[in-house]
Amino acid sequence: MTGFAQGLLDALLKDTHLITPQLFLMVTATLMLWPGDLFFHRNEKHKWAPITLVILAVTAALIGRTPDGEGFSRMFRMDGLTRGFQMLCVLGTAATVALSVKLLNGLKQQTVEYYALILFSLSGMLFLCGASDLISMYFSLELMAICIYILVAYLRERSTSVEAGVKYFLLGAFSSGILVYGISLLYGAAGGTTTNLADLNRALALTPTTSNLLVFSGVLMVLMGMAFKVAAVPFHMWSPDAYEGAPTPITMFMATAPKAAALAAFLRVFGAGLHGVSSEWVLPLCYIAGASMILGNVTAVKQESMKRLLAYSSIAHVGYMLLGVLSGDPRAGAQAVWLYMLIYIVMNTGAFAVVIYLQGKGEGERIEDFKGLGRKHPVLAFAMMIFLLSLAGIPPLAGFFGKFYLFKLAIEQGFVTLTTIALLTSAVGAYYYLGVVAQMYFREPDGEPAAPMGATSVFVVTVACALVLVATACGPWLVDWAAKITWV
Amino acid sequence: MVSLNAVLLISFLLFSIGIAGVLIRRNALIILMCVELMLNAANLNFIAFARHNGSVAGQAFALLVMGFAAAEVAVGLALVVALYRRRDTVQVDDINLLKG
Amino acid sequence: MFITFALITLLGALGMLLQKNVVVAGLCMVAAFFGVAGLFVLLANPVAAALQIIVYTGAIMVLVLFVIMMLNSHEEEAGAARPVQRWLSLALIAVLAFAAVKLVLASAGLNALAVKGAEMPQAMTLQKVGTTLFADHLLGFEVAGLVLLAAMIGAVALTKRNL
Repeated sequence: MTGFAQGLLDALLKDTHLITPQLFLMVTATLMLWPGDLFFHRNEKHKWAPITLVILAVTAALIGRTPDGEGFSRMFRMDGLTRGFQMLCVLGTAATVALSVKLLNGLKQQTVEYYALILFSLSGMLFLCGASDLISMYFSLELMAICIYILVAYLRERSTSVEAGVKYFLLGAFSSGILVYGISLLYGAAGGTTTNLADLNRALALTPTTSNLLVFSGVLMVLMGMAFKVAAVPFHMWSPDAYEGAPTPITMFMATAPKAAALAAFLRVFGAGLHGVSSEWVLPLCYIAGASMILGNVTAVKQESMKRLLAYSSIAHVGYMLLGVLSGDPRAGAQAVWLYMLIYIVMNTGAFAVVIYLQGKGEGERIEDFKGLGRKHPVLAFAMMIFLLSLAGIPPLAGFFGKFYLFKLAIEQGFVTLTTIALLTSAVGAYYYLGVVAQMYFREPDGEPAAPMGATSVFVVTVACALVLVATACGPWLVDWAAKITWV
Repeated sequence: MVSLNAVLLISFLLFSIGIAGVLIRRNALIILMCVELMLNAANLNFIAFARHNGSVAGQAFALLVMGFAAAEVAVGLALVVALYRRRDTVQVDDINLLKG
Repeated sequence: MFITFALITLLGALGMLLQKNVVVAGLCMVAAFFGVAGLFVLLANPVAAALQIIVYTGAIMVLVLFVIMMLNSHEEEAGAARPVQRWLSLALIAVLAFAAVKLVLASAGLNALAVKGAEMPQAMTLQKVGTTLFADHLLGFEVAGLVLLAAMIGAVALTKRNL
């Protein structure tokens, strides 16, 4: 019996070094809840934000130091892809925490639970980036999503927030039901012994033709479940509502970190994992990508709420990024998606920082609130213009660089029609982004002088703006970084 | 020995009843139960396939899925209670402050 | 035996789907869960069957019914579903049923999938499940614990009157 216990302990500790960042997050988040929370008075809860930022910095350092390898019965894998996307998740989370402080202070809603849930969610994302097994993918998704359901409904005194939470939850649970069922079908089709992606790929290629239907429906259901998580059309219904109702920092969180993690899983499952049965999923994914670009951009045009506009724009951007998943060369695809996601996180953070600033004064939700910003607050308006032009993909800003890299790859891989759609819809996208710019510069302000921004917001906006401006000049470095997104 | 096909048929039907329930019913609590039904169908698949191939993995998956289902229900019910306090309803059609 | 449990499951599920009264629907759901537990026993997995009853009927359904009673929301639902959704769901069910029938017709392929002779000689025991869970699915086990913790914190954060 001791031998058995010893064996268990060895199994427990054998691969622990692969998940040190996650373990660190879990332990510190739990310690924050208890006993950490006892040390701060009710009015001092805002001090948790800087502490959380420190924890995130340590996590990033730990991610950098974690060695490559595979462990936990091949359920988790640490490699270039994992590390790159984990860094993106930490980046998005750090921006969220930095921007949360002022808004939550204003609403008197600072609690330790908010930060702890963000950290729990982040640890789910870090698992998801490295999930090399359908089952571990499912449970990391679930950890990530359950925390976000709660965060969306966090402002429980507000009907919109709770409603958004309920909607997101019901659709999210529905989609994870579909995902699990798809996984169970694939598990059966592959002979009922494994859900490891590499083994699955090998086994599925050998399945008898009579069980093709099983494979097809399994792959399709997994695709549906995952498309829901990245909010691709036609599984996007939740996203505008959830984005609008959620507290704005959480909206930004949803648009950045979980999306990066879900795309990493997308790349691993479809780009690398199920390559053997690509005939089953390439066509549906093409339709999903095309529909996301078209519907995301076209619907964004008639939005009046800035948060909804950014929600639809994020649907469109996911459509572009799915081009990278479709790529026949998974490695190049992963690199292009990583680069795009990095740039997208930076420019989105900037845009949301401006929205959150305006919201602190009771506006910023509607596009009309931006009118005359160019006169009221020229520096801020300039930064916002840079972010919007970059989101539109206008050269020489960062957004253009990411798009160029991605579309070039798609054309090389022969997705000419889809790339044409992407280019045309980008032009539509430029229309509504420029509409906001026009509001800022060509409309008269309503009066009222500009209020000062908080120090963290100024910092975030400045850094994001500088990065967006210089990114193209640093193109070669960025490409070098992206080249590290590999796996064996 | 139960045949694999029969179990699969049952799980398929259970799954489609779950989906139909989510789409047809408008009560948030019933939708939650339908989602549980879908997870149950998946569990049935896992256990049936594992049984027929002599692997233990599927059995463990089924147990894990049950755990996640329990967590999901806890959060779902908390959300529904919060919604009821705000809006005095659990009907999905009544939550229309945000335009779908 | 199989037919009995299958019928209990499906009738319970259908009852839940069609029943207007939420409490009765919940009780139908309990029947469906019991049916599934019976199927688990027939699939030689008494552990899963026991857990199914403990977790689903014991914890989940009791919680759901408790909330139904607490919110006093067991009145009938008003109004019909939007036609688009009804259409969509009907189409989906048709597709799924078609797929199910097709699968059963393609039974030869399915039977080939089941490796003959590899079937488990005896029923699943608690010890075997435990060993697998801790040896091969350690990560899942850890994350499940974390998810339960997060769900608990979230449920408290959402419903406690003042934090």
